Amino acid sequence: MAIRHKPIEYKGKSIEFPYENPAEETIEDEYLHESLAKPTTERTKRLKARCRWKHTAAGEFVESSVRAGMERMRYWTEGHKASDGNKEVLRRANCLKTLLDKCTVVLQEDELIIGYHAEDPSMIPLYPELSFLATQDYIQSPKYAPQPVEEAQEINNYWMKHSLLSKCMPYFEPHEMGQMFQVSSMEAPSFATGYNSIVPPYETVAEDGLLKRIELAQANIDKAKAELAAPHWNAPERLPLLEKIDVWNSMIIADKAVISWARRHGRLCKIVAENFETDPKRREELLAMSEINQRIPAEPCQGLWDVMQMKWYVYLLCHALERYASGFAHKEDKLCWPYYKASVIDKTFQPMTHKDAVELFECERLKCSEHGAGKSRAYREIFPGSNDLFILTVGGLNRDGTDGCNDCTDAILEAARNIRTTEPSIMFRWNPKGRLKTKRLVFECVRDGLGFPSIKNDELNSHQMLYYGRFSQNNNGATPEEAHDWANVLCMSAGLVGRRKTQKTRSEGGGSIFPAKIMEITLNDGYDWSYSDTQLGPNTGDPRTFDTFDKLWEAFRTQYQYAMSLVIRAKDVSRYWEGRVLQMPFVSSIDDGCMELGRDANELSEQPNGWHNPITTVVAANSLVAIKKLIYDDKKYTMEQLLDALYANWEGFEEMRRDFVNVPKWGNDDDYADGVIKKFYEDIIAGEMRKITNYSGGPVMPVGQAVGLYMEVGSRTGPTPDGRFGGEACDDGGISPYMGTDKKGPTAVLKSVSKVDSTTQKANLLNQRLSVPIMRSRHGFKIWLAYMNTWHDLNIDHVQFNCVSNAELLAAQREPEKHQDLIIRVSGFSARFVDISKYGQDTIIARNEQDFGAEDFDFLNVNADDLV
Amino acid sequence: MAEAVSKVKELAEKRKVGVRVESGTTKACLKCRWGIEDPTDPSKGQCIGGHRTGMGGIWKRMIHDYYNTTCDHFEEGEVDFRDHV
Ligand code: SF4
Repeated sequence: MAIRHKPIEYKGKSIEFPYENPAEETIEDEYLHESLAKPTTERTKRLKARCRWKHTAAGEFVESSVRAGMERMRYWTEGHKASDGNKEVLRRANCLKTLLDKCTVVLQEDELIIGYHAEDPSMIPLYPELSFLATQDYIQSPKYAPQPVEEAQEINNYWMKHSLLSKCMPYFEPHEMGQMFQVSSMEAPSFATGYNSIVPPYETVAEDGLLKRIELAQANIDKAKAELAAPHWNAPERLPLLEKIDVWNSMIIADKAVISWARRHGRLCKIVAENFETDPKRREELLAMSEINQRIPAEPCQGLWDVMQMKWYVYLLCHALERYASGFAHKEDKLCWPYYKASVIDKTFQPMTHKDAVELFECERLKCSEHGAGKSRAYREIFPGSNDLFILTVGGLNRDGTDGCNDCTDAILEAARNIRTTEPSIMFRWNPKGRLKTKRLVFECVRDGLGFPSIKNDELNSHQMLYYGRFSQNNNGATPEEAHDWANVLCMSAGLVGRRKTQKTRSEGGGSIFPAKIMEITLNDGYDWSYSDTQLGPNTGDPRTFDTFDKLWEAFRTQYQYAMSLVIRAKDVSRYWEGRVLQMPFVSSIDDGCMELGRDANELSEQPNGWHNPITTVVAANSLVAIKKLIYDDKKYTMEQLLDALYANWEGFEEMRRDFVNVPKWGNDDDYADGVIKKFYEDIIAGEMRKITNYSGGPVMPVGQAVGLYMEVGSRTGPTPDGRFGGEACDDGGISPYMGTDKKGPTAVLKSVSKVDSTTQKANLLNQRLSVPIMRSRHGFKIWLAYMNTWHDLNIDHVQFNCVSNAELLAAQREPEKHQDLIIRVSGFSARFVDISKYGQDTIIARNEQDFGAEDFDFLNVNADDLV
Repeated sequence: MAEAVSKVKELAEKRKVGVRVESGTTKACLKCRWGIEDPTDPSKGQCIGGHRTGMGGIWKRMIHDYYNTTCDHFEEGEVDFRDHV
């Protein structure tokens, strides 16, 4: 039996909390989430049951059947070798063409959306041109090595001298590389790992089709050639046209190859329909798919099925074929709405019901779940329980300022609620104008424990797009209308979506810095005694000699600035070379800016969007508060004593540790702690970052979050002055209180968080855990809505929720096989609970389940008369 | 300051609890249940065992020479992801 929440006395009334769905009272708390999946059709039920999940944990794939494919690395390399002597941008186009012409095309039973990026849906592709180190890790693994392994090794050896890493390495000292590579104070540079993210301009493919893009490129070439041949030759003006012509030609090669690859899928559907399929209904479907794949993405989309297939192809090309990139950045409801309307409402093309549309969105979710990323070990470690970061965006406002929620938004949310998959995660842009019907569906997903949608403040982020636009180097940043067209680039940070000005590479924004480790080395003159036994930062002095707290503060600032400057330099050196050896002819062809200007997508930047992710900030911040209070203000301990205790991992210093643990912590609306921490966020975390100018000419701003790095960095960080033991996990995200230390309820957390000026940060992740019996009660939606409205009024950037009981989490630890549908929010992404390590699971269990009391209701302006 | 640095280096050494480089060892971290590749460079590694904290947490240590380092906690095999970070 489920346990009801006990009554709460509020404004003279005793509020009862019966379950909204009375049938749930008979379900045991331990198995609630196993009862919630309701796939919309038998098809999606079957597809989910046979899905080849590619979840990773601890650097390994959870399913034993996953291995690395050979085709992508083989054909990419063949294309590169065959075009030796050509301009690199044309070689890259030839690599893509060779791959798309020769790769196996995959069609699976029941699918409505087709396409896979390796020769077998159990396989993942590799990218030696991005990172030969990551590829070597796969080749060395008896479990995953692509076959034949000798061929794979030969290919990888070829790329050692051609890869991005080999181009960037000469600009760094060996000790700098060592400091970055170990992922303890800084994330390794993308030129070493190959990790990337992108916001594809899906809109141009939907609206124009690739044949039109080829026409545009050809017209540009013709115009340029006419200009070259015109009288009165002018070298400075005309010679740049040569490179542009190369770029436009590369676009044409890429787009033609894409059209022919899609049509190969279409032919396969037809062959199967006409020769093998015995079920007449499926035969009809296959013939319809054959027709779609003949037409799409060559021509503009006309119906919802068109746009869903187009999206998947463009996703594969931008995220898995032309280059690896994480993410699923697009504003899906806005992109699909015209086609949803044509198919579901007007029934003018591919007529279907709303339920059919929900089924299509469920099919897309399952494509994401089956997708496998050939990413490096670091990224197989830090998104445990999921396959990769897939985050799409819905809600917010339209360009004209009207409510962006529509029936397509609802179909996307219904699909997520019904099918229950960890990916893609959804981000909902919260705007007061957003319609209640859609907000209710957001609530249902949250209440059902999906951990998403995560929610971001719509106005705050639209303003941010305008702010960044001011730094545009070609005076073509976001207009007020375009500023409404934003989505999360990855987990947390906003970026423009649309036909141009979207972010194309992670060297613009992304990558992490770890304040907890920086705090640790600040206490050791820059030396890392606890993980790598190396000098990890500059010499900032012996802290025993710091006679004021300010001196410690400044030493931390110096360490932080050193790491920040190094990582942004690494990103910009990477960006410099990406434009020269990692050109993306397909991506360039679908961006209006690249098309107009004849410039590669890596190289062109119209809208700056610089950011970096401080992860583990709260461990550092709580440590500073503890040091300030006990060493400098109260003078209860000396720095010498603290260091001795830390070097002993607090063993033999239990009472002293208790004192450090009991110093006020972040998230309790405590003015002493919050005063220091607000200054830390604004003066150091953001202040130092914003002193840096990146490739695009704009500032770099902090996006506080965590992914699974709070665990990885925790395990590489020794004991810290907040009372943490060496190796323990750090804080789970951005501006979230350290797990278990937010003891004063949900509204105290909101009050603490709102003290930091949101406009000084680019984003900041707030993890909260909500009470299951309250959320599933008859009053759940009203209470949550009051919470959300207060959150919005406090001008906080972000919030996301776990809504799952410890009883169920502990049951899943005991019997994982019985809890395959249990999803939890880790940080920025959701994960299957049983697919993460016990270390990680314990960090979720340790988060405080925020119960609500009368004081909270009062602060949230909950109307007692509504709770009947 | 030199004194402080040498103390920290001493501590780093202490954390090694018998971890040593033995050229050509047959019990290298590479083959040990508690060794995994470095997140970025697979010629280096990380040790996740042998140094568990009193609380059962996993306090990793970087292994600079993954092919020639060993210690008395060596165990042949592979670690299950559930016993990892
Ligand atoms: S336990 Fe010893 S041998 Fe095994 S990985 Fe760790 S240091 Fe290497």
